[in-house]
Amino acid sequence: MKACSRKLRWFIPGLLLVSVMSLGITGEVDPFGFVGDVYASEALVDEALTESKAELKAAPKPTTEDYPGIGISSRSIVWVLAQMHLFFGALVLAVPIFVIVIELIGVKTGDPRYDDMAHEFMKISMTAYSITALFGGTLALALFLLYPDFMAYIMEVFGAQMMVYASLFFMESLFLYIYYYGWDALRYGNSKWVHLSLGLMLNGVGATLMVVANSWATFMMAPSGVNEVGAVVGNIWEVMKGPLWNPINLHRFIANIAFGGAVVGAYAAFKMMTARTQELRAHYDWMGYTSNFIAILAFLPLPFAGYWLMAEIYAYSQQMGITAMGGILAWLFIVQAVLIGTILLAANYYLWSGMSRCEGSRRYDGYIKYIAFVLVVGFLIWVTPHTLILTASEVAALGGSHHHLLGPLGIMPAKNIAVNLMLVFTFLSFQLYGRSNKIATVPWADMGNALMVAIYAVAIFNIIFAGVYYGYFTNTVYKVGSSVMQVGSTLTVIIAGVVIDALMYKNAKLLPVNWGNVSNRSQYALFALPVAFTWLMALMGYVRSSVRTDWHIYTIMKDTSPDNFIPAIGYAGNMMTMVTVLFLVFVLFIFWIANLSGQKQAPPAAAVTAGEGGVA
Amino acid sequence: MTTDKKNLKIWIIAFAVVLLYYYGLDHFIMSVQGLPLNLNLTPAQ
Amino acid sequence: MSAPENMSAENSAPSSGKILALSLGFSLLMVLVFTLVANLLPQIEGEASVEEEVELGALTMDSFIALGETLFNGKGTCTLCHNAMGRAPDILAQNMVGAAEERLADSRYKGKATDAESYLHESMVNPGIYVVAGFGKKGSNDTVSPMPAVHKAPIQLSEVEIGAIIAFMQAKDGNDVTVPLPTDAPVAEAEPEAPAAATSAEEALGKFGCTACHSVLESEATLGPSLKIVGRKLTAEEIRQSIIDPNAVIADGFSGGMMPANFADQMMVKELEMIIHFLAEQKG
Repeated sequence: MKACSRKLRWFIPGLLLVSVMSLGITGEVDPFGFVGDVYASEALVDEALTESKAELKAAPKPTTEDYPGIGISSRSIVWVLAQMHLFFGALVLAVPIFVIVIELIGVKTGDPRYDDMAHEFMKISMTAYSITALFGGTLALALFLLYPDFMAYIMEVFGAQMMVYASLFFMESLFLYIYYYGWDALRYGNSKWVHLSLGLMLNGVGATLMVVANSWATFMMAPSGVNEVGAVVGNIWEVMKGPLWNPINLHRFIANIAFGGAVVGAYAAFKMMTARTQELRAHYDWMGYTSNFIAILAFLPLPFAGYWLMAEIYAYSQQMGITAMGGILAWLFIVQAVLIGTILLAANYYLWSGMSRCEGSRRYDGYIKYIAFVLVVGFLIWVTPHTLILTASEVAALGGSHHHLLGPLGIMPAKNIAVNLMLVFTFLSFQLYGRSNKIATVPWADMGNALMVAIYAVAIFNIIFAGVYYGYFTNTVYKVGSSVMQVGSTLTVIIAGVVIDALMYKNAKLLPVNWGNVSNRSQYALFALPVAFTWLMALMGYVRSSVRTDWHIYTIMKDTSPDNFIPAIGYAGNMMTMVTVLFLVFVLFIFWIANLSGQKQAPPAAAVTAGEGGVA
Repeated sequence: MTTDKKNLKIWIIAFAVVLLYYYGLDHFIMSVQGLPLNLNLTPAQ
Repeated sequence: MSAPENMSAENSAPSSGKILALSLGFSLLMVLVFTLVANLLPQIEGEASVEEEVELGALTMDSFIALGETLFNGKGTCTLCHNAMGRAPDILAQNMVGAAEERLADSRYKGKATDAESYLHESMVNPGIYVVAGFGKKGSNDTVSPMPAVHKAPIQLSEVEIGAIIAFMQAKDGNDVTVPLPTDAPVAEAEPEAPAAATSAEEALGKFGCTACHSVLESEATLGPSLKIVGRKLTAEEIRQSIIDPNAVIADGFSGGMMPANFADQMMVKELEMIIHFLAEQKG
């Protein structure tokens, strides 16, 4: 009883806080008043402006001299800061998403291992959170210093939304600290549900933060709520809800999870390899496996979210789409292929190595070589550029930022076949691994198996058929359209695989799994994953940002700074390497801190002797 | 013998169902994009 | 380390320092590979569109048409879609004067244009008026055009530039050019007196529009070969030949016929000599 009342003191204010905050976020009731006021006053101002036909303020047109220089390329400074902020932001937003899921699994299964693992994941997220904020602040300062006209305009367009963002940040900190530090205090019974609710709030605020920040980036790519010269004519909602907002929201949400899973996987791999006891080794092996599972599961649908984003970009501006997929930026997709290929190979290798944990996996050993073969061939097809070696005249003919020679790269049917098959076969690895410690007991297991095999076979056939037939023997529109067909086939395999296995292995007979019984070498796959993810994120973020070419805000505000051109791929690649290495260094620092918090210094020998009496 | 026959039936049914599904999927996906197909899957435009 | 050894993890685990060094080294190696790939690909810089003031004074019909072609391939970004890949009608391959007349006669045509010139103009500033069958936005049944209006952002062609593109469209298939040269441009024969001679090489380079295609002075244009180190590659005599008879020798990687061949008629001897002297000094 005593313990209970002590806890209650904690909860009631906590609960109140949660409910008040939640109301604030949903915006239906607004106890603090600021959210509604902000929007209301914004709307009023807009209305007044429109009604009175008052002179609307156009976007500024700075000249090159208006950009303050500090001796180093302003773009590079902002590039590094923004990318670091995004890396850590992604990590901080992603970890609580799967932590709450793992925590819930822990509650449902009653297995304390889940709870401990979720708690440990959060520990990594805590240090990352402060680093995110630090880089965010520095980025804002750098932008105000180096791009004052641009920032003045952005401030004018988004206005009080920026303050909403800031207040969301406060709420995020609040929930994060209560969620993390309240973990053990709110561990069992009803308290656990309070804790889970806190986690939900944390995720709610986090997701809101992300979509608010995304609206700035998407406004720069495809402005909405402003007229041709950039004067604000819509309310803040119209400004935010541009055509690319939701595609970016979805894409970042999924990618963050994959990224977060990969980073904590590296932590687990490191801890596993340095573990001194078999028990710890088993724990971290399991943690690494779970992280990898999260990363790959989130990674598989990512190309499709990317496809949606690209389709929306084409729909918004065909020019912008072609700049991304058919211009000089098209070469970056070769690098992307190398990175994604690395990720898929590493993930598969990790799964295959992991099969040594379980006797039941012997059944599937024979398939691995075929999967590996398809993956390697797919990878090779994918990275082969349309024209591998450019002659001097081809390079010269490229001239500007766009050229018809490179156009086919974006919609190369051979590559689409390769990518889709790689995804299908990675999922096969995944599924075989998932089945390796189970024997189905349901009566329709044979039928389920036959169905699954048929789905794989027909999907593979359909992917190849669509790519070859529509890709090479019909016109362009059908060629482009058929890639959706391939995507549909791949998605069918993934969804059907998840559903069939979930049903078929319900109450299945479980075979023992020996966690920790895996080679150290396989753990390097868990390092390869986050490194490739980080570089990939830097790369694709660069492409996303570069499609604006020499516009700060596409069609509205020209970039007249000295850095207003698309740099050569080598230069961009070096920048990406720089941010990736910087990120690695910071992540190692985080791991070190997480490790440090678990260590206790032994009392000095002198003090012990002194305590025992007998001053020398 | 009977289990073999039963198995064969299962496989045939599974493949038939899946083939039918993908045939429908191809038609559906293409027509949603405004690119209808003929019954033999050749472009109708 | 292979699997069986790991059963006895106790005390056999490598030190964390060693693992740290190994994993860091492994990670850096990977990053290095990615960097290498990025650096092996063709290194091309995109160019920001440069606001080029068209030198109306030096404009002849030939250079006007050449300007149109330049814009068509460059600033106008027309070739992004108007190419042989089927995104948009391949207008380079079609006789657009003939096509315009056919379209004006089409019952679907609802615009105000009366001839090829006004049709081409209308199709650029208001592409949605008439959408060529099969090229409308998906699902719009050819009522909405995916093409942006060229006089608005992000392309922002001026009236003179639009005129130049129409002139190019008409001239490329041997049709008569009906677009008048922009006002205050010299009409070749009717020009009574030569414009004032440039006083410096820099001024002359600007006057004859060299910077529109070549990177020299502040220009970073890449349509023609860079002139920044031309003094190292060509002698003064070769430079002279390249200006007077540009198609005699074509630099590697560039195609002939791009550069106006009439500078000999336009430049004063003094201007030509200044430019040659200036370029011969450009050694990087």
